Amino acid sequence: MFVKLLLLFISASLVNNVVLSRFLGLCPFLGVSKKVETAAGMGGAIIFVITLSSLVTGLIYKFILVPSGFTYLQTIVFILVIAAMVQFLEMFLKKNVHALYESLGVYLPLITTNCAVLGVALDNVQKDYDILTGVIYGFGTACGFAVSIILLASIREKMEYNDIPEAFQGTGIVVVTAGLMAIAFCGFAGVI
Amino acid sequence: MKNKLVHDALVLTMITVIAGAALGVVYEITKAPIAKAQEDALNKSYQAVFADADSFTDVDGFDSAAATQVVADAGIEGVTIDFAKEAVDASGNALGYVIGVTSSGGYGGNISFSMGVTSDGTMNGYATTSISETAGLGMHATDKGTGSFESQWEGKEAGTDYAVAKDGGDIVAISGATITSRCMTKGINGGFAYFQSIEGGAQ
Amino acid sequence: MNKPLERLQNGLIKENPTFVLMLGMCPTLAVTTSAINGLGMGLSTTVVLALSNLMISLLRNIIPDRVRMPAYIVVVASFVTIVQFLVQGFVPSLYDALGIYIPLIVVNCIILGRAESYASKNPPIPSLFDGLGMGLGFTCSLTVIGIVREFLGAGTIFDHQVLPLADRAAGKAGYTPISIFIMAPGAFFILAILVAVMKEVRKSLFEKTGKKLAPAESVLGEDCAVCPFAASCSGKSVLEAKKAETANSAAPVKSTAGKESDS
Repeated sequence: MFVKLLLLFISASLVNNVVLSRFLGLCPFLGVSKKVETAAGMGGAIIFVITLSSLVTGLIYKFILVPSGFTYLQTIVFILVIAAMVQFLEMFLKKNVHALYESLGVYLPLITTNCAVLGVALDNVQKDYDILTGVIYGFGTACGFAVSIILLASIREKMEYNDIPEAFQGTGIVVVTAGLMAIAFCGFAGVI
Repeated sequence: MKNKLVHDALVLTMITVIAGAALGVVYEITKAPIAKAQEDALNKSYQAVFADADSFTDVDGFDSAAATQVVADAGIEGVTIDFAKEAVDASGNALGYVIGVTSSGGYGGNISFSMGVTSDGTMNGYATTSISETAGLGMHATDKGTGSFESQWEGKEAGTDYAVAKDGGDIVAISGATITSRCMTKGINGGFAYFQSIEGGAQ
Repeated sequence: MNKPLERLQNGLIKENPTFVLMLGMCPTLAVTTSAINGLGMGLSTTVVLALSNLMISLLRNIIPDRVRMPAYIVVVASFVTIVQFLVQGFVPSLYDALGIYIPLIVVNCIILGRAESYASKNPPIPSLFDGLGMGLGFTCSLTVIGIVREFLGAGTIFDHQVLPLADRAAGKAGYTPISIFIMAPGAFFILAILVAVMKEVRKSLFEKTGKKLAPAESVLGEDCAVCPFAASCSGKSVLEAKKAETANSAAPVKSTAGKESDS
């Protein structure tokens, strides 16, 4: 059991990396990766939200949607639940855990319509994961996101001093970098 | 102020309820076509692996959980046996089995396929029923005919532990799609393991 | 001018969501491994876009301003689910190929973006055609990208072998597919080239005619302020504060991407 979950974690975080091989969450990946500090904050917030949302949506699916036969409402329910949850989380952190709010909370509103969060929730249903497996899968996926956004930000900080062809300045070179990172991540396919 | 809040919430609730009801109606309408599409895909896959068969009957006392356990006991992880059917020709002779296998660990998730195994334990080919591999790479697993990944399986016999060339076996992987090839190979090994358990028990 | 026709043209060319506005990049990269997948995804999105634009425009006077985002999301999610059922029932092979990306049309920023910036302010008929135009523009771009990737990566177009493949064993000369183009990294490279080309096109167009193309509306334009959610997104102020912070300290090399699109 433990080995299985560990393998799932590695596969979700590195082999099938959420941004670099599945293209989910591309917007924050390209948008909030200028500085390592902000990238780390975003990564942390994503880990927090995805892990929590896979738990919550997993529970809702198993104990509300399946028994009542409303499984066809999953897309609608999931996205509303995620949006509401993020909102509550932000208010809660702001009021009660101010230190955490300072470091992670400010990124929460940016995540509401992030496709990676909804993607993980739908994946868990489609792949028939039980709650624990779903949470591990979500955690792994989010860690994969955090690792790749922090790596990209570190590369971008170094790249500021490079001489880049005019047409590729700005977004162009960032996307090329992401492509090279994706090639590197392809190498993880041999791990499991 | 308070009234406005209530009004806003009410409108939103109304929209949600109407949307939910509309979805329910569409769900009821499309339920039949979806079920039919899935059944058609399965039937087509039976025919694909046993072209001479006339009918397919359920194997007596088939239990998906028990069958999957048999495969797991044989040391093959992540393979589910979804169904097992006996292929019978027009004159009533048993030709072999169609075994429904779902193998985990493809590049785009699980791969489901029907594999045909003749009564003497020879592979009669397979047909995928649910696959979402990369087009142009892993999707070649669905190809038929000479030179395809599928064609090399025809005539392979139960009782051997098959592996792709990269892992020291003799199965030629689909070019650029080792993960898909491994997933298929694992699934077929699982199907064979289950075949041996039913064929062994029947004799 | 004929309004519906003008909206169609606007979506297809002037404000093409992929090439000009650079919206909805997640599905663009993920499903364009083949031309047929791109086409299928594009058409599914078009249906959702047109219907939700129509519905939101009809409801524009009923939906209270403060809850408009959740209301839009409900409308869009319903249409997405309907399309999902239809594809599953009638085109099962496409359903398998697109998989999770069909329900993810909900969070495609083109759809909520059009709802917010067009359908919520305009009458139903133009809104419907705006959705159709945008959707068809999206479909065309996805198909084109799919064709390029499939051609380079497998030597086929719409599953027809266009380039005869090399067979080393048989000693036959021919095309050796550059399979990286249908794998994930290839998608990034295609996008990078696209971004670079569009940047040049914008520049030369501006120099020649003095007219500006619509600015890129996503993060690819490197400015969060033009994002369609900017009005309702509280993250914007956060990013602005961060930006001011970084500007005060050291002031690193300025990004140039936004220059010609910002006015």
